Amino acid sequence: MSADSAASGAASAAEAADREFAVVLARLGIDMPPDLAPGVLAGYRSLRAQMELLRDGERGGTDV
Amino acid sequence: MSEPDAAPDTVASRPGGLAALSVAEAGALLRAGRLTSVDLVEHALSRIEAHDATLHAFVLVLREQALRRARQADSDLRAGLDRGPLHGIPYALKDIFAAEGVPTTNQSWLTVSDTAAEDSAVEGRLRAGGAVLLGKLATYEFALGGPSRDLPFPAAVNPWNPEHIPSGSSSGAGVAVAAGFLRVAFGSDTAGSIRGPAFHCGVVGLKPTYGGVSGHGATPLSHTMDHFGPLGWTVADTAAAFRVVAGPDARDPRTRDAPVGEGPDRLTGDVRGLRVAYSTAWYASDPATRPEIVAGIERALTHLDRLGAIVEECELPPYETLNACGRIILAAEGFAVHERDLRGFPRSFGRYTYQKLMPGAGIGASDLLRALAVRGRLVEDFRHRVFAEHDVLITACGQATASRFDDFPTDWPPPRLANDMQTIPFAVTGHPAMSLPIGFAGDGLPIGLQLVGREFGEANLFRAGAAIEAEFGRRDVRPPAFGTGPDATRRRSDPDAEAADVRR
Repeated sequence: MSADSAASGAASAAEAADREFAVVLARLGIDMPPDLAPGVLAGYRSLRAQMELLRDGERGGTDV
Repeated sequence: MSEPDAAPDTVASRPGGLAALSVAEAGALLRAGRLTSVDLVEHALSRIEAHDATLHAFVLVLREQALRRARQADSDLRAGLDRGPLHGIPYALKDIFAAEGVPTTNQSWLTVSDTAAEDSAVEGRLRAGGAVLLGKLATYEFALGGPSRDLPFPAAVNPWNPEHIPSGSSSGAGVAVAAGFLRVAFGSDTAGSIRGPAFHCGVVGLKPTYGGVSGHGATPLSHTMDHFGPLGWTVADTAAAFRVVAGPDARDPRTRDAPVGEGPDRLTGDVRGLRVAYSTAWYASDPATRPEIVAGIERALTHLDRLGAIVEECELPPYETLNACGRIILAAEGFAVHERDLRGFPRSFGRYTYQKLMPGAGIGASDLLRALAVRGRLVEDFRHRVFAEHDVLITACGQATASRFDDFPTDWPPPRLANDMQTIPFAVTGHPAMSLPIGFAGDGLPIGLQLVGREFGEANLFRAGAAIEAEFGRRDVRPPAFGTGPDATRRRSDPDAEAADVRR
């Protein structure tokens, strides 16, 4: 994978995570102050990667 | 490979006057009538007054109440009533523990005015044990946030270098013990909040076995990962403090009745036959790990081997899996604990705290349940891979020295945070884990290692810890501002550094 395509993949994963989190907040009826959003979204992207790691493990991709 | 920098003045200079006395030494003098608890409290208060305006370890000093309790402790001893190993000894609580009639601010605007109606279990045991509460200690907001600038009290400062954080969230506890304000303090550890400040402040920090110390009356963060325990200047001090607060509590169903280990009087440094496992897999080949830490752990292992311990390499479960598990569980439980306020009062949280708690909203039931299931398998994995044949595991506690305050921007996360801790695995599994100083890195900041034991195996941590502590000879090394740190010659001397002032 080229550096460009890796960067593109990371960017699209981040966008997907941000969209996913927006849906969660809407479902929960939580209004997040816009100026606090970048830090929250950065945290959620990182957390999403952790959740993916455990899902991969369940599918046999990781030694747990 | 380089050796950890030894502090140049590790000879027994007994700095700090009364502050240099261990719990056992002070206790013996109290019982012999050559020292009073009031002496100890007044000395601590004067030391706090002289130095805490810059260190910010305390958010509240209970001067009058402490003197009252000290007078009572002295009176009880004179009457022949000895309440235990901490009788007459000053201590302080991270400001998430309730103490009757005293504010529990949690370092948060949300609770800054809350006054506790009753003691937490930890405070209740210390009070019953005749110990003397000196005040409440700095914490990250709700034991989670960070070294923020938008909270009710200033962030505590690392006593070894004020440009660096002391780490958190039990920041004030680490600072207060390192600075010699206290021999012991009490904190909480949900992912490393006792062991991190202990590591970065150069003191001992014990995260007991999950359920070993009651969390009743302590502000929760994560019900299945919260642990409560002591920080101390020495292993023996820490062991004494642990024994006072450990044990079952009907008000906290997580607690269990289990042995609390040998008393500090039994810590002879004898480790013959102790079965010690180690693994460098999580840290040694990572370029983020300081070589002094790798070398210090090697030195500790060599020392234990020389003393007759059986030292063997072992295989650990993957760090990434433990980390993922811990982060998911903590995030989900932390959001659940604070959801009402996150919804209703988002602006009342510090920015870091809000930004660290809110992502937990996105964790669904299936991901949380998966993490909990994986945790169960990891606990089993440790049981078979490590603790079936070993009493103690030694690994890294952190990979780098304390971060600089400048590394923390207005919003979370910091872009270049280089203080990766390796504490979360044992908050996930619940094993007892202790951070133990092993000297200093080249930048003059403390480093340490992590000792891990079987469930309720704290006694073995104290046993191995006392032996390692003796090898590193750190007992008489205080931070630079107190005249005995690694660069002591370039710093002013401690005005309190007279010989111990006791009645002969």
